[in-house]
Amino acid sequence: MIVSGAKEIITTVIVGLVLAYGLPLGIDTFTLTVLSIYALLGLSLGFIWGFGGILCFGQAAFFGLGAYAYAISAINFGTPWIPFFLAIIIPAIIAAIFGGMLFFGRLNDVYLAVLTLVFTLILYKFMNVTAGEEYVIGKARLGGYNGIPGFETLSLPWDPSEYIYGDSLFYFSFTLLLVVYLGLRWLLRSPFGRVMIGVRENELRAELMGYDVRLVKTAVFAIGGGVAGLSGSLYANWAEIVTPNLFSLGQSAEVIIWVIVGGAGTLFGPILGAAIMGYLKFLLGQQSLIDNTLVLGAVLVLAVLLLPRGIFPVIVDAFKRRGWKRRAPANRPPRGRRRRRERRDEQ
Amino acid sequence: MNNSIVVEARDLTVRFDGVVALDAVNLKLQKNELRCLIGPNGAGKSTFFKCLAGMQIPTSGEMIVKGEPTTGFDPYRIARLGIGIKTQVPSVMNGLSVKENIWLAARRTNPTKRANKIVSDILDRLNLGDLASLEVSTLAHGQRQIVELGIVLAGDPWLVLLDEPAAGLTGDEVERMISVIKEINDYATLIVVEHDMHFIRRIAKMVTVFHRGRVLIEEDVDTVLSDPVVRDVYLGKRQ
Ligand SMILES: Nc1ncnc2c1ncn2[C@@H]1O[C@H](COP(=O)(O)OP(=O)(O)O)[C@@H](O)[C@H]1O
Ligand SMILES: [Mg+2]
Repeated sequence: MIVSGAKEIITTVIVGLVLAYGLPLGIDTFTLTVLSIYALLGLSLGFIWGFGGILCFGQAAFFGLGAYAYAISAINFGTPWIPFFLAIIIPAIIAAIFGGMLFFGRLNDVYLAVLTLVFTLILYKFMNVTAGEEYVIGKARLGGYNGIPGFETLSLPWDPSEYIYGDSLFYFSFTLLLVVYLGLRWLLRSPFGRVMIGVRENELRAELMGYDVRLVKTAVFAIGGGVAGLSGSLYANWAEIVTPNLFSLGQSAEVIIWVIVGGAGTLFGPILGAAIMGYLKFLLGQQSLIDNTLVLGAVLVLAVLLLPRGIFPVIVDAFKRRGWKRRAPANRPPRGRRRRRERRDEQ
Repeated sequence: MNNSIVVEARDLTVRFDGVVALDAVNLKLQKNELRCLIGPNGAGKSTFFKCLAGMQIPTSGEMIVKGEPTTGFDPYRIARLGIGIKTQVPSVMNGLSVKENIWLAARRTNPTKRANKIVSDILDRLNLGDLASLEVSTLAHGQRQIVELGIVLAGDPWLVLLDEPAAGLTGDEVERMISVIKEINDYATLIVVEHDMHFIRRIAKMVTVFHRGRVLIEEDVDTVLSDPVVRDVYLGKRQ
């Protein structure tokens, strides 16, 4: 366990270093920053959905809340680092309260999905009508559909005149992505993570073992909310403005698509899905020949039909199959069983 | 006192729109008893278990465990009282290994190291060693039953509920199940629901017969099995 944990950290860091130095050779860091941010958002949903068994149709809500929490508190505090942490904590707390109501109310999965969607819609509608001067939080005007511009962005804690933007914002976001990824991997190996996977597998049995399933799910949902909030706060720093569109249905739908395309049930899949789909959207945005939602929709349909488990599990399979052929061609387990087992391995 | 009452059902009634699954059942269980529940399909045995385990809220009536009313408790609270249930259809974590299933049960009340120790003890005790790292979904029905028994044991309950534990078991496995049940009874109270009369004969002391949601008779095993009314019920002559 400890050995494989260390091996994993080293692998992740090496892959991370290669990507951090390699990717900017082909893609500009401005785009790479937002891809890292999307990856973080995808990771947050991949975690609660793939491992907590909670399908949230409104992950954008916590993304938007993170961004707004950052912007509003940055205007009020005038410094970036307190807002940076508030942008994680506030969405996590709101997720805990909102999720807690749903889970303690023992609502079934369908209601949960619908209510998270409604929650996002309410935030979207509300933020859009806050153009008036009466909508202020401290010194910050909410600004309605115009959003909030002009807040203090991240700078070096020991030198506030050195702003973190451009290349350094990419390295910062990318590092946070790696750290959160490793943190979640660690969490999944911890007793809490194992219980959470147990809950995903069989809620009733977890409950009969004496686990308070509602509490476990609330905690998982809050962690997902915190990660989405972090992603939102980085987005605010990247865009230097926050608008109600962060809460849009489109944004919520996109996150789900990233996770499906990349591979739900893995942590790396949603990262990959977010990066690929995000980059595709960026490329499509540079032309006006075809409508890009159409193409993204088509990619989703193709992915669901051709790679129902997502891209990442298929890549892992391909590597493993080569390994197997070399070692033991004779006793491969039957197909269904093999697949299922691999899915566990990839966690 | 050894013969204190640990479980008491008072006029326990469960209705599913139209169907009366339990009809004012009164039942008392002594500490360290091994009680068998029998009765034809649909008699309400599983429903009784569900009420006791918190999986079913009764329409009326009360369940009292060690003097405390537990009616309406969530399953996890009942589990925390020290009650473990093996459900009729095995409820296990299919996508996880045998070991992980049992570990999760053991870890709830123990630190990790102790949980690991408990798991290896139970794997030995139930002869599951060879299956330890297999995913539960790949196992036969009987093996899953035994895994579920392992989960229950790992929680170290003082009251063990087994709903049709012998279903799907091979001859050897049945023998093992019988000896494990007797072992458990050395330190815990048990209620066993079973259809198989041979199985009942091997383990039973007191037997309660359910019929159409009511307690038909409650006597020692020999009296019950030679009772003409019970035979009629089982052969379906009596409507
Ligand atoms: N969830 C349910 N909804 C409707 N009817 C049910 C439900 N559970 C059990 N029943 C009915 O209640 C009666 C008792 O069922 P059960 O307790 O499972 O019997 P047993 O375990 O003795 O075979 C049966 O008629 C069954 O059809
Ligand atoms: Mg039954």
